[in-house]
Amino acid sequence: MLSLKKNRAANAASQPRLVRRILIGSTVLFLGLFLLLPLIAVFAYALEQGGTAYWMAIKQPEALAALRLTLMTVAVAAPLNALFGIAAAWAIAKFEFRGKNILITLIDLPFTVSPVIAGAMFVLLFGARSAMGGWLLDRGIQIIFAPPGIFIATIFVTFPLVARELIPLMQALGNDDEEAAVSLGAGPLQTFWRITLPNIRWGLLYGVVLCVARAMGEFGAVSVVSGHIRGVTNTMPLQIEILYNEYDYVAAFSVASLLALVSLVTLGGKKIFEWKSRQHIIDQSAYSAQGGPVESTAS
Amino acid sequence: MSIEVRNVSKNFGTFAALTDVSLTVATGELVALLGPSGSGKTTLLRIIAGMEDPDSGSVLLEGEDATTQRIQQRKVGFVFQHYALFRHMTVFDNIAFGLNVRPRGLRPSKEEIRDRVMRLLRLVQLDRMADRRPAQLSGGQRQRVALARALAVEPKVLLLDEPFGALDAKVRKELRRWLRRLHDEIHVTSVFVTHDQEEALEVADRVVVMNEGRIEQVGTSEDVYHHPANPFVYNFLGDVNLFHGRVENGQPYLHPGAEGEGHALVFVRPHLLDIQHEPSGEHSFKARVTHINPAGPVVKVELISEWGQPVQVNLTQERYRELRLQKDASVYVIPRELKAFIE
Repeated sequence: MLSLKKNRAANAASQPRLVRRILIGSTVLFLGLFLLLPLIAVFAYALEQGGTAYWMAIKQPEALAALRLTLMTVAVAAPLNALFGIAAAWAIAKFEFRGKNILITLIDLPFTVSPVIAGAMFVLLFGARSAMGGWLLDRGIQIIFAPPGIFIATIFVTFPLVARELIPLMQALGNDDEEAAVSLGAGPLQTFWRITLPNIRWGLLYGVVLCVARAMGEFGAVSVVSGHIRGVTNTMPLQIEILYNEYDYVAAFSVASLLALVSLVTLGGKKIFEWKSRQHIIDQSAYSAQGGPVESTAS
Repeated sequence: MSIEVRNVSKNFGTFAALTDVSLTVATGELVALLGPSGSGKTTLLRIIAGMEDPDSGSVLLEGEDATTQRIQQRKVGFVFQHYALFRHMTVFDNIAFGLNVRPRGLRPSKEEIRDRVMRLLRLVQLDRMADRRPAQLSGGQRQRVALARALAVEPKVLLLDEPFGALDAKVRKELRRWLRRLHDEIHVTSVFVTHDQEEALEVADRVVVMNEGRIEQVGTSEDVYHHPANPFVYNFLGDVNLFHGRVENGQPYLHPGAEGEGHALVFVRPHLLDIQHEPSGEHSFKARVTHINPAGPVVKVELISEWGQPVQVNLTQERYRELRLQKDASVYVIPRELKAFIE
């Protein structure tokens, strides 16, 4: 670590001072102009007509319904994707099988597909005029233009977040701990609860936080499947858009400020988990950094 | 508990990690699996442990076929090169793990677990470290914790995969002597993997020399060092000079241009070569000194032979002072013992 710090210092010293200042200055300026200022503006606008107006806007039944639906969506999407993420990361990091690379690529699919297209996909699949949607409707289950559609669309969009976080972490941790536990007589469940889960907990929480943030803010996919029914299928981002389009700026920015506040909290949580997770890996590498090449299991 | 490996083969894709390997380890023995990277030694160890399934062949523990047994049933203790200690647990909890995960009926009481863990901590001389986390220990201490953890479940067999591989040279030497003493104390059947010939020769009762998925030779340190079965074993166990020669009437001769009938590879260890200023005997040859390293218990002299081949000679410090060797001096090299393998 020490030599690394020295290196960095030497590197920085070799750069001309002016270049350094310009780079730092422009980054700060850019961040201020495009991130900090708008964020402040949201809060300033929301509170422009005083605390009472702000409070009234949030207290509206439609706004509260949107908040409730958003939280419910998070409560459905985050645990499901946490489970899926652990399963996928486990399969990929600890086993060798055919088609593994295709699976890794597929996990990334939601990142490359535009959310609007994702929403449209589910409308095609579950809409009233589709075979599956019709069949479900006959049995009184509505997916599209109802909360289940919103859950499904959100799960799709936040699908890769936990898995992407856990795959490299589990690959770095390797199989030794689990093998040690099993050789000491532990069963598969004991090994998972006592060894694997504690080893990946910070990475897992980090992934879940990312998932929560994305689930709350998702607009495109949800917008397509929601149908914008006030008080029923509007999530917070959709509610904000409606209020904004109706020129009700104070209300729009009040709800927006609430969403922004939650994002700030998530950012803080994310930072903490990220740091904890890295700490864990540093412990681990300090461990194997005692020298000597790592021999492959094939030797 | 005895271990018997019968005709085991294992492939990873197209790579043959083990080819028809058979080996017997007697109860209470300490055996080293020695070989270069990729020789199959770790794979063999993992197959004995049950962490890897052989493609064919079988593993017998105490005369009983264990090939299809799960790791949990085999009663083996396994020690990993990188310790694999559970980071989120204290030293105490690490060692107690194997006892704590037992089903309720078989689990010792809290007091018994405590007693046993403390006894093991004293055995590995870490009794004051019980509450530390693995990250707060040195490499040597971690490996001792790993050993105590493996011993806690009273395994019938102890398997160690490059147990000293991640440690620096000094700690490694201390720890391997300590392991030898520990084994003399507790006598659990043990197999350890190493690529370090010095380590294998010093610690093990018997050494199994492996190469390219096969066993080249099995024997005591003395057997494999002084009576190597083939050129690979001779080459792998310590520095060696390789010459071309021929064998006539059972006597090896150095012969740089030798080919065809009677051609042999002749091996001489550096300490079995002497240097003189005059030719002597029928094997001596002329050489020029290119480098001298007088640091250490022996003086290492590098030379170029009259036919242009590099030669290494190890002299005692006394002999070196007697000779008053200089760089670029012309001298004669006299082999004291030749070991020939006919091709």
